Amino acid sequence: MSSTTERRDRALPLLVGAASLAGGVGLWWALAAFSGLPSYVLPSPGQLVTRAVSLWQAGGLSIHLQQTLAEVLQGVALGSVIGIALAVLFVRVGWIERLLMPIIVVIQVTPKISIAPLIVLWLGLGIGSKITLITLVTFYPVLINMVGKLRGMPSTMHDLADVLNIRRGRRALLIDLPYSLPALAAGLRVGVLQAVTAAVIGEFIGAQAGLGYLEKQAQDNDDIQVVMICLILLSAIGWALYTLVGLIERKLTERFGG
Amino acid sequence: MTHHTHEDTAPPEAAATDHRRLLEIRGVSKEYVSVKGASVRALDDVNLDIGDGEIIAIIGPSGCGKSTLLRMVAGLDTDYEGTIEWTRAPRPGRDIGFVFQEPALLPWRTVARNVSLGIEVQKDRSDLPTDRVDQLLELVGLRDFAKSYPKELSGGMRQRVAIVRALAYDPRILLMDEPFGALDAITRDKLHDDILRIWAATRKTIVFVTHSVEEAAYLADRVVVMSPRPGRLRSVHQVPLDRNRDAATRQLPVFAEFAGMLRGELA
Repeated sequence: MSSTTERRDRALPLLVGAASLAGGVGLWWALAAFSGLPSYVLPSPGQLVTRAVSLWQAGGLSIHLQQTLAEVLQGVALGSVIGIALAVLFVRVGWIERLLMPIIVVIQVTPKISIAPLIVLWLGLGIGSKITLITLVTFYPVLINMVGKLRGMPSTMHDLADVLNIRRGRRALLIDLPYSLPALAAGLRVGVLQAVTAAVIGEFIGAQAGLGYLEKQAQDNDDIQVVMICLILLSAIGWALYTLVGLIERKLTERFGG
Repeated sequence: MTHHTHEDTAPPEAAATDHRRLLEIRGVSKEYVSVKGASVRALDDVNLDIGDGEIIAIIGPSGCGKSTLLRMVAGLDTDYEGTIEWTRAPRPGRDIGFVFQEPALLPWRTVARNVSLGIEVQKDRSDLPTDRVDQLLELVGLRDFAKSYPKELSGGMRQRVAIVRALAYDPRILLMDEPFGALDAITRDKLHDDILRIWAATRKTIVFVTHSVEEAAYLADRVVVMSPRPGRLRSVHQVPLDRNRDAATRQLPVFAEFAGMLRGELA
C-alpha cells in the first residue's frame, strides 16, 4: 500500500514534467505549421530532427559535441581540484586566504565574458583557453561551499584531531577533506551550469571546434536550424551534467555524511 | 579554599595512598573575559593529585569549570595559571585518551577504522597486538559491528566505539567529559559496566566528569566535588566501596548513603 503511494508520489512530478515538455514541443510544432513563418525562421521540430540526423551522419555534429564536452569535463575537474585544495588551505592557513582572497574576489566580480577575449588572446584558439575559462568559473562555487562546510565543523572533531596529534597535511587528508566532500557537489551544482556557459562564451570568441563555435558559424550563415540544434544540444549537456552532479551528491552524502 | 564538610573527606591535595602519582595539579586558575567584557574566574586555585590506575569522578553543577579542568589535563586548553605536572610528560597523541560528550566518530570510516584511527597516525605501534581493535570491540560487545558505519549504530553503541577509540593506542590516562550524559538510563548502566570491565582489563587511570552522583559513586575510587563561580574544589571523597562492583552494589545502604552525601554537597 505504502509502496504504491510512494511510487505514485514519485511518478507524478515526472509525468507532469514530461507533459509540460511535450506541450511545449507541441506548441512549437503548431506555431511552425500554422503561423505562416517560413521554415528558415522557425523550423518545425520534425525538420530540426531531420537536419540534425543528416548533420550527425555527415560527421558534422559529433566533433563539436565532443569538443565542448571535453572542455567542460576537464575544466570542471580542474576547477574542483583547485577549489578543494584552496578550501582546505584557507581553513588551516589564515595568511594564504588573506593573500589570495582579494585576487579571487576581483576575478569573480569581473564579468567572465569580458575576461574571455584576454584568455583567448593569451592561450589561443585551442582547448586550453576554454578549459582555463571553465576552471575560472567552477573553482569559486566549489571553494565557497567547501570553506563554509569546513568552518562549520563541530569543535569535537578539532579536539579529536588535537588529542590524537593529527596535524597539517595528515589532518587535511584524514579529516578535513572527507568531512567536506559532500559540499563539493553542492558547489558543482552551481559550477557545472556556469561551466557550460563559459565553454560557449569561449567558443564564441575564438575557437576551431565546439558547439558554441558551430552555433556562431551558423549564425554568420543565417542557418537558424543549426543554431537551434546547437542550443538544444547545449541545454541537453547542461541538464545531463546537473543530473549527474545530483547523483554524485547523493553518493558523497551517503558515503561521507553523518 | 577548600571546605572539609565530612570526617572521611581526604584533603584535596592528598594523593591516593596506594597509587603511584601520575600527575599533580597545582594552583590551577583560569580567567576569561566574557562577551560583555567582564572578567570571569572560571577556575580558582585547584589542587589535585591523580594516582596511577585510579578512577576519579569530578562532579559539580554546570559552569563549575569541571570540563575546563579536564581539557587542561588533556592539553586541549593551555591558557591557565598554575601547573599540571606529570610524573612522565605525556607524549603527544599517545598518552591521552579522550572521550567527548558526543561520540565524534568519523562517519566515512567503519567502526573498526574509527577505533584504529589513533594507532594509524602514530609512527610505530608494532608494540600493540595486531588484533588490538578486535579485542577492544569484543570488550564492549561490538565485534560483530566492526565493518558497520557509525550511522548504523545506536547512540550507546557509538559512545562505546568512542571509548575504545580512546583506548586503542593504549594511552596512560583516559579522560571522559560527561560521556554518558546523552544516553538513556538503561544504556548508561550498561556502559558503566563496560567501564568497570575495561578498568579490570587494563587498570587504566580514568578521570571523568559527570552530573550524576550515582555514576560517580558507582565508578570512582575518589569523587571530586566542585563548586561554581569561581570553580573550586569543594571536597574530595574516597568512595567507601571496594573495586568489585556490579548491579547489586547500587542496592547497598553504604552506596545510597554515599550518593546521598554527595547530593547534599552539590545542593
